[in-house]
Amino acid sequence: MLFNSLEFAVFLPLVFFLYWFVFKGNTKGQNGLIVLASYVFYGWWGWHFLGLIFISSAVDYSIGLALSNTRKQQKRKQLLYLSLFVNLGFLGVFKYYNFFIESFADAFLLFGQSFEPDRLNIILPVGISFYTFQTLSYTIDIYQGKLKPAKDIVSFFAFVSFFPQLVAGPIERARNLLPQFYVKRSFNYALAVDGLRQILWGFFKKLVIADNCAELANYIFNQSGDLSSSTLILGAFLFTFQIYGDFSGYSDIAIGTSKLFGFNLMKNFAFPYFSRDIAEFWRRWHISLSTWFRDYLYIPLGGSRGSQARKVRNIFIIFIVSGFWHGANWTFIVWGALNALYFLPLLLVNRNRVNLEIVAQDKVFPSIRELLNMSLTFVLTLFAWIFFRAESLTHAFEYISGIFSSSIFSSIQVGHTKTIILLGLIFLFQLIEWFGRQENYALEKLGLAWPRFLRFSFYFFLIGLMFVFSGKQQEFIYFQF
Amino acid sequence: MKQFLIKLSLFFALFFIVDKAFILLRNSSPEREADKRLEQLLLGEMNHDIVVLGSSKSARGILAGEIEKMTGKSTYNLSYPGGDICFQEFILATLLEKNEKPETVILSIDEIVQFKDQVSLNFRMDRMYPLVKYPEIREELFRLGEKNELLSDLFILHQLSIYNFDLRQKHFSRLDSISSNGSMPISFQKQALDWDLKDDLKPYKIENEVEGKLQCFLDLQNSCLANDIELIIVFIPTFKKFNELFYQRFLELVDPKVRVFRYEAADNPFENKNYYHDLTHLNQKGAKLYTELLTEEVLLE
Repeated sequence: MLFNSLEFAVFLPLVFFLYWFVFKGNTKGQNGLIVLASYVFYGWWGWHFLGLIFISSAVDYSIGLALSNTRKQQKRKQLLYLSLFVNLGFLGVFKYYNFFIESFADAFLLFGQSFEPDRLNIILPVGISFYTFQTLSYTIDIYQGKLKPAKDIVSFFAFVSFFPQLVAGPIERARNLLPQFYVKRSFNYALAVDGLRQILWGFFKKLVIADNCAELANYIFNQSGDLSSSTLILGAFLFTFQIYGDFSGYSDIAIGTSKLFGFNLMKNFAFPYFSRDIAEFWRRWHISLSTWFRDYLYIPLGGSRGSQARKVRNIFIIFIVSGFWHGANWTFIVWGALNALYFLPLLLVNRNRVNLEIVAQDKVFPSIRELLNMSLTFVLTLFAWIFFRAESLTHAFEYISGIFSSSIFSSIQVGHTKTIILLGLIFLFQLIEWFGRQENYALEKLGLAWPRFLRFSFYFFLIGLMFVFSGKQQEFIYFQF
Repeated sequence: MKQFLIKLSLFFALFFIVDKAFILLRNSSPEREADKRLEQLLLGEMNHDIVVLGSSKSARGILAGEIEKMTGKSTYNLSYPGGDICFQEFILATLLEKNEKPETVILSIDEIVQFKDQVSLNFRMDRMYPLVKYPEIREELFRLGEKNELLSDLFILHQLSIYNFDLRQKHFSRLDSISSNGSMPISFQKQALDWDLKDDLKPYKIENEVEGKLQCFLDLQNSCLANDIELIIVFIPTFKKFNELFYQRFLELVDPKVRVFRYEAADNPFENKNYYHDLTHLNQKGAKLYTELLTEEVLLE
């Protein structure tokens, strides 16, 4: 079920009603309802893969209990490996099998040997990378003694399948989310209103910004061979905002929806396009994944301790794995490696933790230096997104060579009116984000001090834009990961 | 909880009321349009013997008034610059639904870009949205997945697009002035063009064809055949080399009952740049000559 569908518009109030009226004060009942609702939410897309979530949940629940009952290190290690084997096994088969088999076939071809690989004819289960990582963090935390296992199976199943963040995150840590299922929840008016504001902002990002950017960006990337340099630059620019609006919009809707049910999810985006360097960008982009890799891969590898060579190795590992997490394609691996290259100089000169606060804290405008740094970071990010969006490495390189061709000063070959309107919407979007950048999301406090008439007019304006600009329903990009 | 539900209901009720005010904007949109052809079509005021469909090539290159004079049959040009084959198919479907069926439809083909995904040739939403007060337009937008039917029924704002918010009265430009028979001839020539007839023939790739556009073409053709309308498909001359590969592909799609007119002569007058506005569009002089040839060789045959 998509957030931007009529089914969800019926589903959400129905679950809300049952949750707060029928199961009011009954925590077990509310958790059970969440499990049921989450399975319906996921099964709406494809019930065939519900078994995967069930097996993943059951295995990790059992392993969690077994880990708490075992003191023998050898046995504990075996249990951890079993969890890794099951979860990464699903991921390997459904997401990466065809990629590996095809890459092997290509590699053999280089040595003059050819074979026709046996591809699996399966579709990728939506959100498999998200819930797999979420359950993995649970087992690893128990193994490391940072978390006590869930005794209540319903709470654990609700934690794994919690519908707002099941298919595209944020990838929650058991330490944050699981305890929220144990406690009694009572309706919190302020939290619910805050949740609605965040949902509104998420829908604005998705329906107005991402979906409209998608229309032109898709056309430009699909026809890139026939278009001028200036058009290709526009395409990359629009995709940069498409992916941000799409993914951070989803996160906002997920976090906002959770608030309606009394849950607080972790922040997933913190105004990444206002970053002054790549290190800051990666502290602000897809935070739940970046911190997952930091905690469960980078730090166990040694992090930034040790020799320079070790640091370089660790950075490349984490970025390449992060790229590979996004999809079984060399384009994602190159995207990850490119970001590692961007990040490395900052790490080596020990300047990767310089910009910790949001830019121009407590000021209206940034300094010239901050503006230049933001622009440079934005351009580097935009360039890397070309690899992320391209169908293949050949496509990416052709796209880039198209950008650096002599047609850079020729006119844009897509509708000028549409482009101007879209750029105007992006400007409005970034303006609102700029003024709300010190909060968790742009609308969190923006307008709260205004007279009610003005505030409501502003919300009506945003909803109006959604109605006017929402066109063809586009899936969320991150569903494919 | 009570307070939350009451405030939320009031918020949506207020939005629902405010939304209804936009009905004024929706209903006044058609008045600001300069080109009234689509509205006339919807109102059943487009009853002609011969109708021309196509994009800018036929809008500029076929003079409906000339055909009318030569054949004595009422003729109208319903070509829309930038309109793709699906838009043309929609025009024909609306024509047949709301008006008397024509005897003959002349359809102009845009050569290699005809079935490709092309920003310069699309479904003319800027022509559709100003007329969204008409149910036929809304139904087409639902069919295309542009708008959701239920939401549109509930909220006027969801029926609108940015085109409805342009409150300026539109006027014809030098390029888009419509004659009384619907054609848009251009009398001047575009400046600073490279008039060298280049042999830059790109191979035609079937894999670049868009399934939906092919289907629209077949639907248009079938619609004419089913309604006993004579369909004449024309390739209007351009100052470029003709793509034979596309032509061969095109012939695979055409029903044998359909007549195809491609002007070929040993002493081809359309190799003269004076007949063109630019490399792909005839000017008024060229349009007159082409229309005469088309009428003599096909319509009066």
